[in-house]
This record gives sequence, structure tokens and C-alpha cells, in this order.
Amino acid sequence: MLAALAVAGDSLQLDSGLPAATVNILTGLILVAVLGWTGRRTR
Amino acid sequence: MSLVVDVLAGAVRGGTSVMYAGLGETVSERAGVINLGTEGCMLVGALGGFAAAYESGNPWVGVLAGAASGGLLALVHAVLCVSRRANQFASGLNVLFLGLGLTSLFGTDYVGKQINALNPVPIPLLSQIPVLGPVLFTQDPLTSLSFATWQPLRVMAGAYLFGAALALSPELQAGGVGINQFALDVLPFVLTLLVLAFLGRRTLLSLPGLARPAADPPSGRGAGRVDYLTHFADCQAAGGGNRFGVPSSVPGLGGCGRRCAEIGTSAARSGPERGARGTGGVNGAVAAVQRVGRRARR
Repeated sequence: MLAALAVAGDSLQLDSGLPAATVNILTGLILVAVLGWTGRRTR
Repeated sequence: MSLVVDVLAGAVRGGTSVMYAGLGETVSERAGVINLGTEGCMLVGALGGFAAAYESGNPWVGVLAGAASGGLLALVHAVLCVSRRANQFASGLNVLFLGLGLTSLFGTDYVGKQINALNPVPIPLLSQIPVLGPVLFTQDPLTSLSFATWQPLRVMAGAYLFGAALALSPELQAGGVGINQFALDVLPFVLTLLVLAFLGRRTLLSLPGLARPAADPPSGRGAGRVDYLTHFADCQAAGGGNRFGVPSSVPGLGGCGRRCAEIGTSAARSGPERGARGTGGVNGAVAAVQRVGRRARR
């Protein structure tokens, strides 16, 4: 998933002309959502 | 002689920031949570601190803002790992990505700007000692604070080694020594990794699974130690150990929970082979974190 996000981010950056930092932030936010969504509750 | 003093003073000055981050990571790992995103937290803390100090003109406001912003990003990791039980490595890398992205995007406004640094506070009498005075006792308050009550000797040694290699580069350039710039840039990392590899080799050979088995049955004075070493081996085989040899107190890591955490706490008090020697206040902080974790799981 990390590799897919990196490749998609690179494509997005090249196509839309976004700065690399934006792709990093988007990758991080998507991973936060995925990790938080798939995780279990402690209580 | 001046070169040696400058490099040593630069080592203490430059290594202090690494030391505080390493100290926090040590407490975190000994409590069973690995944070691979420490560098991201350092970056966000540096940006938050610099921005606050620049806007307010007060370096102490920057210190508070830096600690708060770095801690805020670490809170994301804490919520994901402790509350949601997410994979700690994935969450740590995620924090690193976030830190890199946030600082690259919002830090461009502050490139080339200057702030007021913390002024060095010479300690009376001690700062007059040759060599040691300018190296240890003529530093800013945060550096002096690191000598105060904590005794994380190994963390300090690693941080100062990194800082010394960092400080050596401008001194060599000022002295006209012709060394490749790339070599100077990678020197701190290569040097620290070599030392870590050398020390890690000794630690690896002392792991319970690789060490020579005990000839005597577990009885008498050393029985408890044999028991918990065996227990550590079981936990690590189950994926519950971290690199300090402390089994995980977080069920998501595969550790065995409360009993293991209690053994880890007692071992932190008495186990010099685990690297607990000289880490005084760290053990108390680890025990407190483990108590809070156990209480939260009940």
C-alpha cells in the first residue's frame, strides 16, 4: 500500500504540478485514516 | 588545542537536541512502543519552535512551541498505536512522512530568517576550568539541564558522538583541510552507525537465544534472572521484544501483557546486562508509563 501511494503520489505530482511536500502530506493523511480505520478499539 | 575545545563544545551544543529526542525515544521503546517517526517529530518541533521564536522574538516561547508541536505529532502515533492498536512501524513511518511534508510545505517562509538564540549561561567557577569549562559549563540552559538530574549515559554518548562529527566538519573546512564535502556530510551518520554496529554485535551475542546455556538449574541467587531471561527469549520469539530486550507491554506487539511488563520493570531496575545501567530517571519514567498503560487496559 505504501508503494502504491508513493507511485500514485508521484503521478499526481507530475500531472498536477503539486509540490513534493503536498504528496508527502497526502500520503501521511491517507495512512493515518487507513491505520485508524483498520485498527481495533482498546475498549 | 583550540580545535579540540571547539569540536568538543560543538559536540555538546549540537548533540543536545539529538540527545533529548533520543531520550524520549528510549523511554518510549523501553515502555514497549517503537516510534520510527522521531525524525519527523524533531522536524515539526524545529519548525514550530523556530516560527514561534521568530514571530514572538522570545526564544523561550520557541522552546515551548517546539516541544508542543513535536509532541502533537507524536500524539498521532500514540493514538494510532495505543488506542487503535495499529502497526507501530507503519505508524512511525507515517509520522515521518507527515513531518517531512509539513515542514517542507510550511517551512519555506522561514528559510534565511534569523532568530535570537538562547544565551549561554556560564556556571560560576566551573566555567573557568581549562578545556572542561568552555565545553561543559558555558552552555545554554537547556544543555545544562541535560546534566542535571537525568543520567542517560549511553544516549548522551551517542548524541555527543554525532554532535562531534557535525562540529568537526566546519572546523576542518576553516583549517583548510581538503576533504570532500559529501564525505563530511555523511561522516556523522557513518561514524554513529559504525559505533552502533560494533556495540550491537556485542549485544547480539549476549542475547539469551545465542548465549551459552546455563549449566546449573535455576535455583538460588541467580534463579530469578535465569527465569526472566528465558521469558524474554520466549517473548522475543513471539515478536514481543524491542531492541532493548524489554518485552512489550502493548498487546498489539504480541507481548504477553501484564506479567511481562512487570518483569520488564523489575529488570529495568536490576539488569545491567540490558543496558539499564546509568539510566537512573529513565527507569522511573518507564515504570510510570507501564503503570498507566496497564491501568488503561483494565
